[in-house]
Amino acid sequence: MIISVKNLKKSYEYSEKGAGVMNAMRNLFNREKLYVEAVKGISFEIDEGEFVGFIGKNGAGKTTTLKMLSGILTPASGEVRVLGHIPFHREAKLQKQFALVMGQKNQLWWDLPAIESFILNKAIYEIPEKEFQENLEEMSELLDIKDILNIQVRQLSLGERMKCELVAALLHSPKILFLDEPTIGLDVVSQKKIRDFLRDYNERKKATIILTSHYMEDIRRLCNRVMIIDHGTLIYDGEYRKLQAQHGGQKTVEMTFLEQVARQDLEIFGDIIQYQGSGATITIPREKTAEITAQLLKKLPIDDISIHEKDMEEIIREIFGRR
Amino acid sequence: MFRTHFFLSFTAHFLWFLMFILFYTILYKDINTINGWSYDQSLLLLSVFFLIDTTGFTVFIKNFSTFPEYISEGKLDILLTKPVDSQFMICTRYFSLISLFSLGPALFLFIHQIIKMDLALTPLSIALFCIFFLASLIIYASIWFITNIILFWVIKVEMIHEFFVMFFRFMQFPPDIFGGSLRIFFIGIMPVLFTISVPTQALQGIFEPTSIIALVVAAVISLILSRILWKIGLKKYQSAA
Repeated sequence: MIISVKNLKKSYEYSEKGAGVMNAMRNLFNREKLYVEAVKGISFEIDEGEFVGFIGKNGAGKTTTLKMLSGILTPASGEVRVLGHIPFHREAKLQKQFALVMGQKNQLWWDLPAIESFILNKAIYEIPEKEFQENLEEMSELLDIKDILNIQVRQLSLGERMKCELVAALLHSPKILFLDEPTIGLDVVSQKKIRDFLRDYNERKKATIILTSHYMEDIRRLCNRVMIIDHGTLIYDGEYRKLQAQHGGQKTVEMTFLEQVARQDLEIFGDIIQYQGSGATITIPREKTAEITAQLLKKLPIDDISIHEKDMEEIIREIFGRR
Repeated sequence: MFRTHFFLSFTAHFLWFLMFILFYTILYKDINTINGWSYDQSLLLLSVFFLIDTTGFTVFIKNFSTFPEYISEGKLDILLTKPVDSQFMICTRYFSLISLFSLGPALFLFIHQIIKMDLALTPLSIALFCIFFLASLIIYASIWFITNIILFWVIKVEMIHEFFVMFFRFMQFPPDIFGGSLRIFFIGIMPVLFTISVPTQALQGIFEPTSIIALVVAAVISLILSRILWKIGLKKYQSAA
């Protein structure tokens, strides 16, 4: 086991202020301290090589958990161990074995070319010259950034910058990678490039990766395990496929017909979501997919048919909607 | 744009420097000494003040002036994950080239005063000057740093470094002119009073044991205190969403 978290808690202090100058003045002298529990005693363990997705709404506690795992924040209570170390002790021995990439914060020096930040990281992480050159060459090739290494970071596009951020974070070959929304704001081409790169890194280096993302496509394509956090509580921890099987109990069947089909002829197969006469969409029980599909093909004048899993975004929406 | 910024900043620094020389020239127009400090001694003190001030500005101004952003915008996050001392990193990350150029006039005045006053420099007085200069710089940086650490608790106070700079300006005056509660404040609470006078007096072969001990003790305590408060502040750090 590479990460162990037991009953981890974190609260934030804040104060409220009404609108207007008078409230601003009142707030200056009489400020009431309020507390919000961002993480409410979560526990989990992660093994080497796992690719784990953290799912949750904004403010659910995902990023706070990542920040406690990487030693940025000190927990209010509970126990957290990463590679046997306590992260908030910030020991160099641990820090050399993980990396954190935040989609909304950069570690690259804004006014300098990315290569300068890479060289700085080489010194900070004490990476041997040969290893540095090999890693840089390999990652630049995979992410297709060879031509932009000497351009000021401020002049790069968001996608190029995020690729450089990943290279900067991985030059020292970390065993653990914390990713906080690494694909936020990127176009679909850049998203795919980064996803492919992360999958490859996870497989080749057997690195443990924890990813938070609001793009379910990232989670679907990369994570074999997901954790759903809601209001600071862990409400699901398990395989991605099982989550889909448990909550996506139905499949969607889309059909177009060679001739008009009556609504009542469709109702016997499943629940109608959409009906147009010449086409329809119905939902059927997942376990009867083969049986019902066979009957549909046999009894109806079907021109085209496609079967979909219930969309993960829909499943997540349903889970949060029920709470 | 950068060139214009460079020349304007340098000119502002230089005019500020000239203004203080003019201030002392007017002050000493009709008198020879102020509490035992002659015009030349005061200018030597001023030159040492500017040497420490510009060295401090060169190394720390860009780092400490961005401190509020580190705390309120959570820019400290990535730094805290690096296998390098975070206090060292946040203090020395940037370097102000403009301030470095301002060392020129201060150095000119410093050498000019040494020659004019015909100071008999010995290897011992030079060595002690260097040690005391370093101690003064440690006090200067530590107090400035500690002033910034308050941000861990109050989160957002822009220009907090100006608060420190305001107090540090008192260092450019001979310490003997302060009396009563001001003197107690500048020795006990904001120990800046001896930070310039001790290295300046060392060049003149004047050694006051009490002031020297006060300087060294203040340097050690302020450095240790900055370290302790930084560690406590990090526990309080909330980052930003």
